[in-house]
Amino acid sequence: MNEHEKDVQAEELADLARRLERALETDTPEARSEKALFVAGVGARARRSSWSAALIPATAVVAVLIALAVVSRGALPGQALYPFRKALDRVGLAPSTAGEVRELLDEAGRLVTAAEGAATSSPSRARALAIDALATLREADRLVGELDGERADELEREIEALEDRADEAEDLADDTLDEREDAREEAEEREDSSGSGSGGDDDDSSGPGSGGEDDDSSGSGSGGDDDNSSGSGSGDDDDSSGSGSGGDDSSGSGSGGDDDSSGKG
Amino acid sequence: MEEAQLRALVKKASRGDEDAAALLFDEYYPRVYKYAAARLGPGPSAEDAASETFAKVVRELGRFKWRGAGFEGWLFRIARNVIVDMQRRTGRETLTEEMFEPSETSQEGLPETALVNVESATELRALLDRLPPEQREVLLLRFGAGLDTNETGRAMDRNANAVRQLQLRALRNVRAMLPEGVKGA
Repeated sequence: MNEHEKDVQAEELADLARRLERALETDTPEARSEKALFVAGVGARARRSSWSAALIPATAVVAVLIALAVVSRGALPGQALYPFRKALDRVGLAPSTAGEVRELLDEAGRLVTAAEGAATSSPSRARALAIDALATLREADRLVGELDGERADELEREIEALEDRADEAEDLADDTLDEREDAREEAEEREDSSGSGSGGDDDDSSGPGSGGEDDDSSGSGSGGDDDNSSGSGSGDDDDSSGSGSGGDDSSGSGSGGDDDSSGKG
Repeated sequence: MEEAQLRALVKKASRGDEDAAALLFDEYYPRVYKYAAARLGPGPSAEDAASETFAKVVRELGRFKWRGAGFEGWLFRIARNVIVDMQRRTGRETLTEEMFEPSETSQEGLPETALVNVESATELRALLDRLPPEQREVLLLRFGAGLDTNETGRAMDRNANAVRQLQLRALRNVRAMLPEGVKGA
């Protein structure tokens, strides 16, 4: 391709470009509303993003405050979170000390009532409940120390009353436990003594001893197994057989005095 | 518009500066409309495409990161996608063969071999659809949207020289498709 042909071709391409430009030329319609929407949209987007940008840290702060409030709820004087709890208390965001004492007293009241109810039927459980109640009351008493005035006096009186009830319930439970222990020991002793009489291993004491409380057993037991006491006693003498056989035991004489026993023997 | 100036404008707009947004709109709405008109034909469809493009710009501007093709590349990619979606919705994938066929009136006075009455804007646009996509795109951006070579380069993520080369090849191909009688018209 010579220079002339190149020039011609370049000219043709330039002409084609102009024709293309003309062919694609078009008037742009007015787009006022589109522009207004676009501009307002950009502005609103920025406002939204700035709002949400502020929302994220605000949410984080609130979350931390809530977490601290929960954690510091039970903080006591001297503990690291106690000042925070007091601060929240002042702005009404933490449970008040009086409110907490109230909750503890309610809980202690429930425990004391349960302890009283179980004192005779389930003394061990009653004792545990009473001890729990007393521990709860001690906690309440510590908190009351932070309070002043008439309200504190009222709460203290209530604490004392509940402590008395808890003590009584505990005492009653202890008594019941003692009684049961005594009864158990007595029963064991009884079992021991009655066991030797019937078994015939023990000569004098057990036979007549058991006989003293139980006519049938003493009569038959002693009569069957023990020559010295019941055999001779019952066989020889109606009335005095008991005394005779149980010469060294009062209960034995009692049983011996019974006709039935001697008859059996 | 110089790239530095454009960067500053886009940055301001992305932070919600309404004045910057208005300047961006004034600068680019006509180009986007013309680009849409070059592909869809002037009228309501092109207006819709331009409006939808700018509505998407509003939604996406906060996430826009200046890289590679820059703002123009991003903007015209949105416009391209909007146009393609509209064409799919209307069942008109591209300017079609039917549009390319000469009408009754346009056949009059043309040589038998004439593929198209190239003086008709519609038919010339239809001719562009026969080009490879990048060649068609460079002509649409240059002569449709009216971008200069630098702006077209940014829109296509190419340098200005590459744009000139691509444009030259595209024009030669268009010329080759023209009937002899109208090549140098």
